[in-house]
Amino acid sequence: MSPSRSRVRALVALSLVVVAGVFVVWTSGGDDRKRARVKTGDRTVVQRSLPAAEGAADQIEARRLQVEAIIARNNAALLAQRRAFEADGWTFVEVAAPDPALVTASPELLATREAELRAQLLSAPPGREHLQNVATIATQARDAETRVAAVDALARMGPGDPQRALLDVMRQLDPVDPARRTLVALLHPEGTADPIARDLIALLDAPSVTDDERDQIAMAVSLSVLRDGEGLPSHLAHEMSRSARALVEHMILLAQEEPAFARNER
Amino acid sequence: MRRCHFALLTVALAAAVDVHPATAEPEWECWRGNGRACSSADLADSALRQILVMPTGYAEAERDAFWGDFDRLVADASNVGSVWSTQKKDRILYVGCFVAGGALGTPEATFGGAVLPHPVRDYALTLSLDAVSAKVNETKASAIPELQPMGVAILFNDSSHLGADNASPPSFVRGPYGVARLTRGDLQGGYIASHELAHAALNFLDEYVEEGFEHLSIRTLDALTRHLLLGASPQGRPRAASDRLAAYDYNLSEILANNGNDNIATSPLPSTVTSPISEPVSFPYEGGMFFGRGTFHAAGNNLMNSDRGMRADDDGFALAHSASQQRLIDTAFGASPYRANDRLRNAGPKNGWPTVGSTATVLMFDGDKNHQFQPTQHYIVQVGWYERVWTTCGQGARLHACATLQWRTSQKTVEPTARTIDLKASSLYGLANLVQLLFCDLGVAEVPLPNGPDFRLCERLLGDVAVDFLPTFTFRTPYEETSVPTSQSFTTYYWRFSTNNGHAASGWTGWSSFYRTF
Repeated sequence: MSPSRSRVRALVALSLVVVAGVFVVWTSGGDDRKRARVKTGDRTVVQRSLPAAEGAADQIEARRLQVEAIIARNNAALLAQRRAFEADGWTFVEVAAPDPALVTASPELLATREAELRAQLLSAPPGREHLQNVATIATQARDAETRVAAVDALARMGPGDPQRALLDVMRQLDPVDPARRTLVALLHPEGTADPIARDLIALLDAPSVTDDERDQIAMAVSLSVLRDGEGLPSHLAHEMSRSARALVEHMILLAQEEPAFARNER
Repeated sequence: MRRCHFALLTVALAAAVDVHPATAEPEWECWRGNGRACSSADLADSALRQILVMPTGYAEAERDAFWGDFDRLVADASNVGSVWSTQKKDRILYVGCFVAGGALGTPEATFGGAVLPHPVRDYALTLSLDAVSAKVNETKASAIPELQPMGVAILFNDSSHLGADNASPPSFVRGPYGVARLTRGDLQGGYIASHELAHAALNFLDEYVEEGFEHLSIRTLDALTRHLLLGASPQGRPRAASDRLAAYDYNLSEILANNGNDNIATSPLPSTVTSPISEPVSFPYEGGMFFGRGTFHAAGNNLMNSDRGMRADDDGFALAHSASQQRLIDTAFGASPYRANDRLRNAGPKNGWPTVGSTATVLMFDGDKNHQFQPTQHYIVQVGWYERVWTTCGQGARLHACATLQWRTSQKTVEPTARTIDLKASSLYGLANLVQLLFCDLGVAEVPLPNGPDFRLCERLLGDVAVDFLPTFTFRTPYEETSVPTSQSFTTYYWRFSTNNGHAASGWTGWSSFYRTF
């Protein structure tokens, strides 16, 4: 046996000893608990248990007490939660848990439960984490009413990505689609510095945009300009065609139009 | 037509007796729309509805002229097509109350009535709504204890400014009745009176579109909501208020056009949850309340629409009502609500939003919270979460603690509370004219100021008014909120709600969630 081979064997043996040691410590050492992942419904929870007793009845009793102490400690928080609700006038009722597919607006529901999905979108618009699902529904739903509900839900998610998603959806919908008619009025730049403002200005010259939509987009841009109160910023003005600029300026004038009584006084 | 004359100080009348005035000059009169006598028992009859008619710009010497105009208003409004005031003329009591004053436009004019240039149309009729309200209260306290008008009409002694009539629906004056302003010159035919009184008494909004705004959507204004509510420059905004507006879904469009006005909504699908007594309402035609886009109304030619910009043959004017309006009219005259209050949405915290602390606030949008005839009586809010319930598993030497996730739901009844929102004119900047146009058109013509007379919104250009004197517009909001005791950290809470209007409970909204962090 060569020295190197015996060194390898020694290393392997040492490794096995270390692994076995780690296993023993993990299963019975430290805080004398062992942990395992278990599945309950769709939720993963931690299961805790005590080390095996060593056979004696009093040890089993000790284990029982220990387990009950752990349970009491862990359940105290949820009892406190229940008491907080009761103290605030709430009563406990038996109600089925939410359907995760509905809460997340899963597009798979379009095949069989489109009406339920539409009701969910209208009455409990999903959050941003489900943006992609809602965007898919906005373009894939069979019923126009569901597509309308989806674009409305996208708009309610707020600025940034949802606005970009609306622009993507708009490009995929036919101009006469009721969802697209609803969508255009929901494009709101946060201000002239919002990148969406630049996207909207580009749309003003897009041949795929109808005159009706162009007016609404121009009004959305003009409201941003008026709200910021500093006129049409140069970075936007430079990107606009002559006709687009004229339209935005027209909308600014429309929004600023002096009431008749003021005109009469001057 | 037989009138029942009542004079001031002669109100101790026997029920159902037609009483002649104690004085030769009646201060007030009452008659039914069908021309039958009105008795004190009628006034006390809760099945009947009252319209109060008062003058402005009529001098004492024009008392007879007012009563002649009053007669004409009642006769014409009661005999015009199949509009509500004609259909229900047996059930409407017109109470006229004469108040002498100076000429229109003078300081002595009753209620401060004046005819002035209007931001949208050529002229507008303006007056002090506070003064009208004070007179109604005074009359009720002294002369007519049974007075409980569903609408008030103010007759302007003017025949030269036709088409200047307008109205403030109750939802915009935050009262039990709205106020219609009519010139005596526009009484002929009954259309104007029945239309303006439909605003004031039924809380209907216009279904037509102002010229020039055919392509403008009310939803575009939602971008202004945060700006108007916060009322300060972005740098000066309180962080907490700004964060709150990011987490919650307030919208100017809903405050203006989905707030108890049954015939208009900001969605073609106003019914967002089920109603056990009706099919979902459908508003297929876009337009209304100033805007060509973003507001929707039902099919059917009717009194609140016009033939301009029709989207279909049944999207125009008629001296009649849409089926949807008709159901509301029946409810206004005593029938049970035709639907549950089903225009609902979970309005925040936005789904999945992280919250901090042991209390969270959930915000409910309820388009019928301020409904004139079927306001929400209470909400039921449900909050649910998954409890990690610990128990014993195994036995003997294998005994151990294990957890299961159990769904737990609690619910609470929440009474609606009056909630208002202030829109500060001082933060409008370049948008002042647009908002002024809009609000004048809606009938928000007078804005109370804390230390002085009303701000007459449609008389002065906001941009010309010093910032310190600019008014704050206060609107009732269609939002309700309640707190949730979220004592468990790192927990996702789910919630939903339903409404009850005293006749029917709505279905539930979908479940929304928020996440309690620390």
